[in-house]
Parts: sequence; C-alpha cells; structure tokens
Amino acid sequence: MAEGSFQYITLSASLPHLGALFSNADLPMSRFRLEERLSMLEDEDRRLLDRVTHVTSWPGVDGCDTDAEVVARFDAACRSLEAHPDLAAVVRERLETRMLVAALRLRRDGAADPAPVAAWGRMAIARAIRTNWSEPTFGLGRARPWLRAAQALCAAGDHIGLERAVLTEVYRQIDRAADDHQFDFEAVALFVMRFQLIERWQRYDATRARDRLEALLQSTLAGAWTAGNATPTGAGKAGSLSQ
Amino acid sequence: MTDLVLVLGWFGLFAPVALGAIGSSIGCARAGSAAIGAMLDTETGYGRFIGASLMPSSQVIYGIVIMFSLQRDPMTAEAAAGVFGVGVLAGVALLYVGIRQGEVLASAIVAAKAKPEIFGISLAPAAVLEGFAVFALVFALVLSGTIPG
Repeated sequence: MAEGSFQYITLSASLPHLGALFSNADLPMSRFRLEERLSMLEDEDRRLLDRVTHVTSWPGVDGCDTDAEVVARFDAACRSLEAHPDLAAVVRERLETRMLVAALRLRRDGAADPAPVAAWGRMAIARAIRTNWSEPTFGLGRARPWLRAAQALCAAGDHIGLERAVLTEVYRQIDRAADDHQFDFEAVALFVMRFQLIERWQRYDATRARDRLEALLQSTLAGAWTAGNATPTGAGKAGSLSQ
Repeated sequence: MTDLVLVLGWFGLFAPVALGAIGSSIGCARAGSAAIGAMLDTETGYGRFIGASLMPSSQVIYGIVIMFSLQRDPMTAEAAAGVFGVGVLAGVALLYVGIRQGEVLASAIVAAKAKPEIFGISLAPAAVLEGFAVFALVFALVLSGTIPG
C-alpha cells in the first residue's frame, strides 16, 4: 500500500481510540476484530507489521538464548524499516528502554560490574550504561527523567510500580511518534504497539504469574542439579533483555 | 499566434471545472475513506460521516459557475488572455482547497468518531477552507465582468 493511500485512511479510521494506558478497564476492541481490520493491509505491509510488533512484544524475544540475539533481532527489525524512519526510531527507543530496565535489575541483583552489558552491542546507550555503572541513572537521568523514578521503584523492590512506570514511558514514546502520523503505515503500526501494551497490562494475572515463577524456579533448580549443583549465572544470557 | 492565444483561452475557460473536479474527487475520496472506516467502528452516525465527506464536492460546482461567467461567444484573442489567467488561477485554488478539505475532514471524522460531541466544531477547519474557495469564486466572478467580449 502506498504512503497516504486511501486504504490506510479507511484502516486508520476503523481503529478505535485507545485513550490513556491505565484509563480503561477493557480494550475497545478484541484481538480477533483487530486482526480482521488488519487484513486490509497488503501482504508485504502485513509481514513488516508482524515483524515490528513481534520484536517489540515479550513473546517476540522469549525464545532468545542470549542478549546478543535479542539485540540482533531488534537491529534486523530496524533495518527492515528503512522506509519508515520514525517507526525505526520507536523500535530502537524500545530496545534502549529495555536495556535501561535490565541494567537497573542487574545492578539491584548485585552485579558489581557491567560485564553482562558487553553483550548488548555498541549502541550509545549500552556504552553509557557501562561507563556510568555506579551512577543511579547511568548518567542519563536528565535526558530520560522517567529513569529516576524507575530506579527508585527498582531499588525498593516495587515490581508492579516499576512495570507501570516502564509501560507508561513506552506508551509515551509511541504517543509522541504517533503525533506525526495519522493515515499511514506508521499510524497503524503504532496503534498495534499501543494495543499490545494495553493488552499486556490487562492480562496480568497473579495466579499465572505465580505459576510462571514456579516453572522458572523448577527449571533453574533442574539446571543446577544437571550441572552438578553449580550456581547458574546470568551473564550474557537472556535473563536481562528478554525477561 | 492568435490560435495559441485562443487555445489558452479555452484552456482557461475549462480549467476551473477540470481542476475543481480533480480537487473534489481527491477530497471526497479521502474523507469518504475515513467515513467508511469510521462506520466499521461505530454503530450510529453513518449519515453524519458520509454527509461530511461530501463537503469537498462544492469545488467542482464553483468551477462550473466560474466557467459560465468566463464564457465568451465567440472566444476572441482580446478575451482569451484574461480568461486564461482568471480561469487557471481560480482552478488551482479550487484544486488545493478540495484536497486539503479532504484531509481535514478525514481527521474530523476520526476525531468525531471517538468523541461525537465535537462533530460540529471539528468541521470548522473545513468550513474555513470552504470560505477561501468562496473568495476565489466571488472574485473570479467580479474579474470576469471586466474581461472584454
């Protein structure tokens, strides 16, 4: 579909207003209905949309074994978005946000040096984290004001508060990009990203979270037994960027 | 040379209709696409959306009025230059207004879908653009009276 095409206008106009992240109890449309509307996209656009929205959602990087693999997937998604630089910027910003939160968690869990960050590539944000490891906001608090609150929540062990702060920031990033796009591919992709965030927040379930925690504990313990009671380490593994 | 001037005269005579029709069709197609999309997401207000999407169609009507006011029988070399200038520029104005009206109407339809109470006020930008097209129409009519023939 060409940029500014009438089909984009129809598709964008058929998508409901999502509102603020935590303002609605329910999504204004079901996933089934969303998929039905997205069927208006041409195959090539649909593949690109799936690629972008997949990598920015947690399931999209769930199967990655290492952080380097997560970064590589993001890089590949950004490369495929050469024709849509604003969307590529949102994807890159999403990875940076994920890196910052992962670094906060690593430091909270007692990592004395930024060794695991070495696997995060040569992005400026990864360099800043490595260089300013001992600073509360990695020297980025001025450019990213949300980081200060996130650091405090992380240090206090307020996981839900941290998740809320991060989702709010990601939603804000998407909103900012959406200001410049109303009836084009970017508008549709940014809508789907926002939809995913709201969907994710609404799916949070204490019972499922406990089940997942138990499953993770069991798999970790099983791994430790297999390795002769060796303590599993997270350095370079997908314990940071993909969880 | 006279033939070329006469050709330009005829070109200017039909320009308001042709360019107005292009502007109206692009504007209506844009706003209409938004109206169709909005109808997929709402249960009521279909008539309002379609009605708003037809607003750019006025450009071609203005073009027809300008064409009749510029018409000279027979077309003379003295009249052709004036007809060309007024007709082409009025047509360009109608074309641009039609396209831009389609854009603001598409935005208005999307906004009014989420917040029905703003439907009326959301049409204000399109109405202002309509006013500019009316300026082009009125002054084309005024100037056409000064063209000889």
